Amino acid sequence: MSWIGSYTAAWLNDEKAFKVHPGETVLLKVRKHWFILVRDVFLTLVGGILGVILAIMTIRLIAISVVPAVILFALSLWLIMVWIAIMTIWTTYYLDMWVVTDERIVYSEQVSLFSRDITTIQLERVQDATIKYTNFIETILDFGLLRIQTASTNSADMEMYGIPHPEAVRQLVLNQVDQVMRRRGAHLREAARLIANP
Amino acid sequence: MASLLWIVFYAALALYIGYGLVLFYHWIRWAHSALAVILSIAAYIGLGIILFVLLGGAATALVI
Repeated sequence: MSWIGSYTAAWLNDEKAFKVHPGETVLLKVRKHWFILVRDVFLTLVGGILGVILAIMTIRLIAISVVPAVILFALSLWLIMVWIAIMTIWTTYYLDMWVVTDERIVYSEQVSLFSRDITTIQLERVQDATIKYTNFIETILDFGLLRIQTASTNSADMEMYGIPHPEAVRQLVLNQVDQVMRRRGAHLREAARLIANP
Repeated sequence: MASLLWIVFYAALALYIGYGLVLFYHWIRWAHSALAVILSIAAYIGLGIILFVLLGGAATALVI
């Protein structure tokens, strides 16, 4: 039964998308802004509501006794599809997560139902972080695109759209990168001193 | 006509259950909150029952 305990512990410790290294501290866990979820669900719900309106109009216009059952059957099928779409939107929203630790940045993304990406960038490879607001709503609600540029030529930049308070997240990442580089510089100076004065 | 309706009904039900199992797998495997997983599963099953009762009711009415 010990596996149940360890599984539960892992779940409660938020170690599902990645394993925290010994001594590593999680500084920030962030999901996309709630507006992204509300916008997508709302647009899907509009499709469902249009189906209901169309069904009511059809029943009122065509006064044959068998029609309501046919319309109800078609409407139920349509609402099942809408409900499946809403649950898929919720799943991709809830399982997308951006984690900043004192060593790295991890982006776990539910691309589609059968496709999941987990991207990790070590902080010492980060060259720059930029943010981008593209419209009025993003500016008012303070969410936007955060792009982490890396020194590597063979790996793509890390991008997450819909990050809440992107400037604060950017500052956190850049401050953490500074600290890592300072620690690294101190290690290098210490190594150079030991080589010079063995 | 009647058999076609029930074929559509059971096909939709099979799709709903299969899709639900995939969603449940993702939630249980990756979600960080047990409460969110339980609520998501309850919502999926709860509203699913209501919608399939509607669908089955309409199919029965058409057959009769």
